[in-house]
Amino acid sequence: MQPPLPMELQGQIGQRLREAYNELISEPVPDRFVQLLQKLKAREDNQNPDKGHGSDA
Amino acid sequence: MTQSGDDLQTLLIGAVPNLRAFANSLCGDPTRADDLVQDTLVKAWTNLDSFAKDSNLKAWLFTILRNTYFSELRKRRREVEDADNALAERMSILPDQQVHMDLIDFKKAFGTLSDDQKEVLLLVGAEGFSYEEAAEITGAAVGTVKSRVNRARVALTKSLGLESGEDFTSNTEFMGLVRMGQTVVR
Repeated sequence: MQPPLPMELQGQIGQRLREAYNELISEPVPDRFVQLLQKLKAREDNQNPDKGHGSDA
Repeated sequence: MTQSGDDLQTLLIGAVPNLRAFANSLCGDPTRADDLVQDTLVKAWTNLDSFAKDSNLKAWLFTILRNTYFSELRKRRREVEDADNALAERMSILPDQQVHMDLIDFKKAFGTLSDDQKEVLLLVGAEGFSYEEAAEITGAAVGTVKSRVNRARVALTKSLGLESGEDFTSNTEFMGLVRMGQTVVR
């Protein structure tokens, strides 16, 4: 079993990891994902026309 | 569920940046990463019944993504070998170029980790999941996750050359070894 790293080093590693990762997170979301979810929702609404949009009344 | 369709749509879109970052870091190929995210969204949408209402949606999505990735990887490994080198490349080819040397070195070092290590380090260190959540997502024991995270950190520290010099003087265990050494010399 490896002894855990000193806190200071864990901190340094963590900081660089988050920097690299946050760069990726901040990339804009491509349109294809918005379109995909719209398609999925539309398909579902078609399959359950009577249950659509809280209009049960 | 249709009632919450709008909410779900919003929640899923909200998770996309994190899913893409995770997929990219894991597979190292932006095209494949986006395919993984797409598969994840479709699976999540069509299997929503199997999602327990009060549980963590983000953790569930990450579980779907990593399961998809690793089962594809197992298939691919039979055909072509690789994935590991591509990752380092992807992490270093980024559109925004205010990336400084530290970060480039870090991405290279990250690329040399095993998939198991990358995965848990991303979940715990980058996404902020607890060890318990990471264990659930990966299907590994908590102790396994902890030791993988630690081994990943140690490996990164070594490849980045962070462990040398005075960094370790604050480490009581190291100081203990030094003292033992002195005793032996006398």
